[in-house]
Amino acid sequence: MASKTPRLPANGTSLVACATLAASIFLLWHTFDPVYDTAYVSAGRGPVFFPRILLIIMLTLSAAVFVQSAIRPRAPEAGNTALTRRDLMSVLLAAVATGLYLYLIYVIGYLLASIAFSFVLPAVFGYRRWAVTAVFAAVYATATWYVFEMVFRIVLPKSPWFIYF
Amino acid sequence: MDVALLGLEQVLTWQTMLAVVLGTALGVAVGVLPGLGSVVGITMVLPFTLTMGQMPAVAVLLGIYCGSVYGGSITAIVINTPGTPQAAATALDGYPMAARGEADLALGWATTASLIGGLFSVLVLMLAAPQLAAFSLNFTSVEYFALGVFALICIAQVSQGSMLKGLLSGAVGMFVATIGVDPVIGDMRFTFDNFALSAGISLIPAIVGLFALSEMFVRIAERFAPSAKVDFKVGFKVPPFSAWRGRLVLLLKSCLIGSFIGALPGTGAATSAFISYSEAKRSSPNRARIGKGEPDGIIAAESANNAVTGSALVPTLALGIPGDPVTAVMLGTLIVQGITPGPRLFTEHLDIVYAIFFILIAANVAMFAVGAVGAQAFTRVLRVPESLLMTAVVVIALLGAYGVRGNSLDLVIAFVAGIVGFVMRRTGFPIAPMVIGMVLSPMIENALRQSLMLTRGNFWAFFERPITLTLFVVTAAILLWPLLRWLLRSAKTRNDAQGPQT
Repeated sequence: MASKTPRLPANGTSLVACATLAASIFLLWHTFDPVYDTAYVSAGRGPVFFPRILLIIMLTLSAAVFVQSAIRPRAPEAGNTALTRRDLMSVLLAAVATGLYLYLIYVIGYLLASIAFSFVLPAVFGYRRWAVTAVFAAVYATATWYVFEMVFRIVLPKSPWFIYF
Repeated sequence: MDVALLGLEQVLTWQTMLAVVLGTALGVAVGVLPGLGSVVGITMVLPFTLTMGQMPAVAVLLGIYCGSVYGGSITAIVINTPGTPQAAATALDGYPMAARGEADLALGWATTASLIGGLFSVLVLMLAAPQLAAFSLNFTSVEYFALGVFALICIAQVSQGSMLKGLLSGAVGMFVATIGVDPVIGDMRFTFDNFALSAGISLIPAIVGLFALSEMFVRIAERFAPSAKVDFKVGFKVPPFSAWRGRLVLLLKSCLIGSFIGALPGTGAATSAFISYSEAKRSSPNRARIGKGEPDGIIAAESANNAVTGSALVPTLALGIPGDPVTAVMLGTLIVQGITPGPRLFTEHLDIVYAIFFILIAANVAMFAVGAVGAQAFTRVLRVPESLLMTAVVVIALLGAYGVRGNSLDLVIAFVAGIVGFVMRRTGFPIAPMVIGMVLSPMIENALRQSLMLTRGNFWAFFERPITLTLFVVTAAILLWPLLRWLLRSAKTRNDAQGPQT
């Protein structure tokens, strides 16, 4: 299950370490922006005092992780499988569907967007019983909308076409 | 004794008992739904308590409090999505157990540990409320800083096997928590003129993304991979006493950790769960299996987070100081109900104090019953086809992420955290340290900066305080012990190797 996750095709560790290293350097540089000049007023212990410590730690650790991943040969973990192009495409499709869902929540409202998403995502998983999916999408999205909007009184984004949802 | 009986008499009414059961059931439901924690649950019923009698109102609130702290563990175990931040540590062992086909047993461990932790904290509250409250007053920002640094050991403990990656993950989590308004001066940090970011990166959306969304991505990536068919056991199985026998010390230690940390204002159940978990990982006889579906991990996390429920009321009831948002809301309700917490409550209205103790006991028992009865339904969820289950999880998790603040940015945060979580899991970076970092960072930063103001920038003055010094020494000892042990073993091996030659 989740514990046996296949690895990325490239040396993912090095890539992540590089990205964290670059982000740390940029953010550390950013802490010297004049906008944080209050740091001087507060004897160097202003808003970026603590983040600066963390960024230096992040910088050091990401460099260490990068060096470690470059020096040590990559030993595949037991039980892990390689990530195929098909797997990667499925993940990409799920990510696009989720991103689109989050966007549509604000365009057509929570309920309609959730019905659409609850219908599409099982298909991305490879589930092909369309009647079951349709019923599930309609019932589940409506139930969650009802519980949050009507019971918990949490105002959810609405569609431009209907008053209630 | 008479006062205790008077308190019991106030509790043993059908209205109060019904309020305990309904409050606890609602609390469990609120805890199960990601994003809806104790605060949401309590604030949701606040208007209703105004029309209730004094004891039923208190019973509803305490029932929700206990139920919601426990409820988060159910989704953490069943679908790897902690309903509340305090249940994040439970997922680390609970979910692997469920994935192994032992969801019923994992729920049994969690529920029983929660019950024992909760009852233990009531005992602590009864016996030590005034003393603990007085001791917690010795904690200034300097001591909180030392406690925060001590709690950071958790990051090292849950990173064993990939220490550097875990530490980096923890540091990133700590940094992410600093985005937004500076808690001391009020300036904006790292918002890059984006107004939405000024509210900061909330913990719930990050947890939703890191756990629930990344789980979806991982499962989609794995759907073509051959895997063993797991038979999820539906139901609830109380672990036999023989299974507890070797774990009683761990249970007691976790209860003590939860009770002690809960009594400190502003710390909370999430911190205590992680500290207790890390202690279990350090000292449990089964430590090698922790993180892979070992009941010790569940016991440590669940008994500690539920042990907070009673002891968190110590400063609230004894001093009138709310330790966290939950007890703050509760304090307000108690005052509305004519109960003014503070030292005089213990001298002038001891019957009410006893009534609160009895309500807490009843709430913990109700929590166990709700967990046991509801477990059939909770574990049955695992038999739903994976595609539909994951869709349901993602929709409700995103809804929970949105519901906390009603902020669209939270949905974006959850989405980004999901992708980050997926990449981390695929590249062997542990997720738990990032969540721990996000939990501890605000406390450590506040305490550090306030302490430096108090000591006029003199960091060495931190070591002049006995509690701080003790915490620093214990932290250093725990961190350095593996290194020292390794050095001693190396020296012994060298000596053994040289022995025959000489």
